[in-house]
Amino acid sequence: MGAVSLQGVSKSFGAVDVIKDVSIDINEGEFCVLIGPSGSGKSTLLRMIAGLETATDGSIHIGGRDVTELPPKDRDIAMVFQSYALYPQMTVRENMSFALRLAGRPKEEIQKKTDEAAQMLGLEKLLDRLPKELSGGQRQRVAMGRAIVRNPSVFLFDEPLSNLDAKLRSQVRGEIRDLHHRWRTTSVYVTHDQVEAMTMGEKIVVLRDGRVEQAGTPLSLYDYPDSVFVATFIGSPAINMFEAKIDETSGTLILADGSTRIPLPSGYAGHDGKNVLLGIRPEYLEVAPTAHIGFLNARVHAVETTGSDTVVICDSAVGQILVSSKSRSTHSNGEQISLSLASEKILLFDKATERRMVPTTQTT
Amino acid sequence: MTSSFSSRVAKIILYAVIVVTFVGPFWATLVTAFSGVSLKPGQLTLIPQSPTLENFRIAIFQMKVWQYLLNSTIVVIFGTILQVSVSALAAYALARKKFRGAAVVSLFILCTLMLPEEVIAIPLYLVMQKEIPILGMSIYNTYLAMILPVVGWAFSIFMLTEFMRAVPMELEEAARIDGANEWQVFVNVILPLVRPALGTVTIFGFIMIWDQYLLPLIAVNDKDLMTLPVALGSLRVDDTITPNILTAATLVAMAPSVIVYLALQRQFNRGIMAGAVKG
Repeated sequence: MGAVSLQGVSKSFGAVDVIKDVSIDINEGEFCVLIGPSGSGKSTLLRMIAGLETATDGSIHIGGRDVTELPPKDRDIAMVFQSYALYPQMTVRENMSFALRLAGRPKEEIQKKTDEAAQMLGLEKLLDRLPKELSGGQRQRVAMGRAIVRNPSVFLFDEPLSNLDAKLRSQVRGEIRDLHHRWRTTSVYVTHDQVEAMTMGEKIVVLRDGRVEQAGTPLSLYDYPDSVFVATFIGSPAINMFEAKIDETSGTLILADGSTRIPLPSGYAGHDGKNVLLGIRPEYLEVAPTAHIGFLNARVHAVETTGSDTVVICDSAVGQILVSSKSRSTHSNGEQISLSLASEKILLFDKATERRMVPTTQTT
Repeated sequence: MTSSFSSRVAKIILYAVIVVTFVGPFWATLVTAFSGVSLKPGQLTLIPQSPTLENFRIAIFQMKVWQYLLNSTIVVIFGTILQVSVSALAAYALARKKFRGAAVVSLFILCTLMLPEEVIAIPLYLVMQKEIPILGMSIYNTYLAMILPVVGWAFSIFMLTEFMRAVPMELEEAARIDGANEWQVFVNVILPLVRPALGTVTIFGFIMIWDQYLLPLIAVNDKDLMTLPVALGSLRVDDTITPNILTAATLVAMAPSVIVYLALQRQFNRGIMAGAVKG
């Protein structure tokens, strides 16, 4: 009942086109994350689904029903705002039951649904408090509770975790995921945090300048980004990008310094002399004990460790290189090292169009 | 030492002068009203003598101050309720709705603050005399003539507009998603959040209407419809009424403003403070 479909949706504010011909299909029960940098139009798109912004062009369907012209209250949606938007003059119970009271539901039903939602979110003891008497995490839960009691077809989340500290964010992230698994209600979640997107989304839609740059599962976006933009936007630490040229004669990629050669992965025949961007994720680079052909020579600039992960930041003739691993680093700043690349993990992008060149051997 | 002493003395004298200037007249009114010693017209006393409530009894019952008090009460209650209601609705439209000509509407409302009451007195009098087509009567010499002109007050509209602008848009949007219609957003979300401002405009509106002199003077000529300020004006020129009775009537006229202020003082202060910070 809760599938969301956007067909050729556009939105303009005066002469400024914010959303440009966006088409997205979100299956019923799917958790879809809209991600993109500031100004990419992700919040505007969510507000259009909610009915808080009208579409200049195109159509929006929820549960097979055309809701393009319908006001928010008739769309059967619930939304969790970035600022929580709790009514400050109402208690937690009143906040959570507001929609049911407006709908004129019987008192017993209101009480039952509010109590159920409060129990689910651990808010039973806070029901008589005002929002100002709650912590950030508790307010966030109340905002979720307000959405849950209505049992809508679609949940909309507008960066709901951005006001929480890192630990709480991780905890609430898990709670939202668990709730989704329990309810299987179609959810559209806006964030600019790619960790949130990767860990929560069943489908990720990457937006850029009001257009869909790529949509797919988190791992398909990570492993097979369609463009340099997606490749650099998804993944932390960020993907390494080097300028290179394909040399089919020697079967190598010649990097920008002119001397470093990397073996050309298979499936790229017919592109001799083409200028490309070589992308390789930091975990697919390895520090080699000795220099070797096809290795990148670099100097350790800094070592960052979180305890579980280590990122070695290196300077090289082709630019800065990030190497990540699960093992602790023994390297010290200024040390000369060689880096080997897992050639099957190399991604090549056309330098002119910044689109990924799909190898002939790849089926995905 | 001497310089510090003399500056202290100067300060005390200055404070004394200020206190006498401001408190003196009120003290004289209070003492005269409760004084059993009858004074001649134009006289006031500062020394309490033979305290009595007789002056109040005469003022309220014999001089029919109760009748004027009732008239004032009717005008001020209906006037304030209508004024605050209309101001809140107008402010909601100006603060939260985008419509063509909003700036012009604001300007027109602002212009009404620039017109002195005296300028519109004669046109207002003429309008009141006109017969209302359907009703077949004019509002002249009725309570409506004293109430309707004070319903639209630019000050309260602008004050509430500023407060309503400060209410985050997300709250309104959340309410719309929760299923609220325009009226429900206004009543359930916006109004409760501007309660301090509502308290402030209620007090200001109450005092403004209670103190109206020119409007009730031109709006009615029936003595039974006179409000307290107008009645006090006519009592003042009556030589048969002693200052004791006149001051007693004045105190009765002042009482409601003081009571309303004290009752809504907290709201009033919060409103004034918040207004200052939010600009």
